[in-house]
Amino acid sequence: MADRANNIFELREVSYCYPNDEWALKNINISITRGAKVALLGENGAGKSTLMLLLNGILKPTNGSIQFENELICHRRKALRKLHQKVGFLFPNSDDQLIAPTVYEEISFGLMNLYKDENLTRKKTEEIISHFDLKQIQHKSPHQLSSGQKKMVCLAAILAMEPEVIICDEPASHLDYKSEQLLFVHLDRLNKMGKTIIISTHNIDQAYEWTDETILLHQSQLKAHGKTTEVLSNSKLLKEVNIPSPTIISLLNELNIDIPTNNPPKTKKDLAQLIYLNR
Amino acid sequence: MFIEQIYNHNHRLHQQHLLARGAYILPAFILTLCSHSIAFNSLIVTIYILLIRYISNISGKHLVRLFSIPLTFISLGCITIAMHVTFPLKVQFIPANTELAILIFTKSFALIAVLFMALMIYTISEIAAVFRLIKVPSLFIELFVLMYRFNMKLLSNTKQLYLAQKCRLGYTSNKQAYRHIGLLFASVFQSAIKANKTTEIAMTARLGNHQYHFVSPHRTFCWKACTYPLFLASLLLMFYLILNF
Repeated sequence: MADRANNIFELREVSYCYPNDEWALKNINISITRGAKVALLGENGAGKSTLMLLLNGILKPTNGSIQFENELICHRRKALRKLHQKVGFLFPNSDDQLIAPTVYEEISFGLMNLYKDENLTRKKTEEIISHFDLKQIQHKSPHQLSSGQKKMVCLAAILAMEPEVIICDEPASHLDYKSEQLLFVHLDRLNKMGKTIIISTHNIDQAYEWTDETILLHQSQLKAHGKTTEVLSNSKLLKEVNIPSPTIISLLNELNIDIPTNNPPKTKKDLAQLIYLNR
Repeated sequence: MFIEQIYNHNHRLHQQHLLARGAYILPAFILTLCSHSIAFNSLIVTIYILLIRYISNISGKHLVRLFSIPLTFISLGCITIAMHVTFPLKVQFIPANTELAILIFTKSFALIAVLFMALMIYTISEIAAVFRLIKVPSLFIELFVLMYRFNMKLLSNTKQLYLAQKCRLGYTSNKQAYRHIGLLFASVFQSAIKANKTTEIAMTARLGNHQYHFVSPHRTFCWKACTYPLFLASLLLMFYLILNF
């Protein structure tokens, strides 16, 4: 987080005020590491969605500055086009994102806007359709699909534009367990390809197990930013912001087992090993 | 409902080339426009209702409901043409006017059947592409696509909110029902407008810039696909010539 060249986003004193004079964010200073999996946590109304929209350039900060790849985000049309291509945004409700009459056309939408070339758009659309295994449903209306399929179509439509960063606002909302797992498998694969993934979630266990960095927002202000294991094992801090501790940490606390500061358990397997060693 | 089937776009012709689908529509539309025969117009109505039934699998009940809205207005207009009211109150049907009214009624009915069929077999993006081709101003195309989205939202929101109202004992009495319908409309529009705003943001995030360019999968045109529509068109042409001259 400290290495400037390795940061994909840098926010300096960023504040955002909505037209109704309500401050959604106040003096946020954060740097997001390239290729990291980042969790944005906080209560409802803490400013998570606003921060995501600021990172995508949809909203312009009232004060402060945001740098993307060491360049200041400029809100001119041409510069924003470039930013929107590089920073994909997955909305919590898939129905808000789906606009085309068929899945094929839905995926082609961003590509056509980007390349303005029908043949290239078709080629890329077909590639992403086969990559996401959507061939069976490519001629269907997106509104006929299940929530999981809709989410996959939305993700495919964003990934078709080959973004560097994928911002997911509550990616698991409306999804059953299986669809959620599938979505995170895809996100994991993308992260391994070097993409930065930023998710906002209320699922603290998922955030703890899946992400590397955590940004904790509380009442429009930054409460903590650091390694997920460090931030989320601080029970006192989490209590202040009305967020429960991850199950793994709670369990260790209940068992009166000291959490190793250098290498806290991240998965259930790590937890089992730690309990075994402390039995 | 038919509107859902239009949005779902899962009819029997959805895999066919644009031109092959067009061959079902264009000849019938032109012939109906030129026709002066009540019998020919009635034939078009019969054929296209059967075609819509076959292509979309829509139930007869839904089809009647669908046609009832435009036909109510057309019928009122045609009755006005056919009727002659004199004072003191005396209603007469003048034969010449009645004949004209029936011709207008059948022609309108036939055109509506053909247009419904067109709506059924073309997606909104294909219609927008045709608009672009004939140089319709982009503002109208944008409005057209947005209306499509808005209707979609309106439809799903109305269903959900109506159910939510019913679950909380809404519409239990006639007196309440009016109030509840008013509330339903207010909240449906509010939520649909909000959802559309989010959709616009989502489109901007995908470089939308108020342009609605979609790309359909490439479908190669083959004459074989045109066999049925061309057979239908030639049959209609034959009947047109027999019944109009």
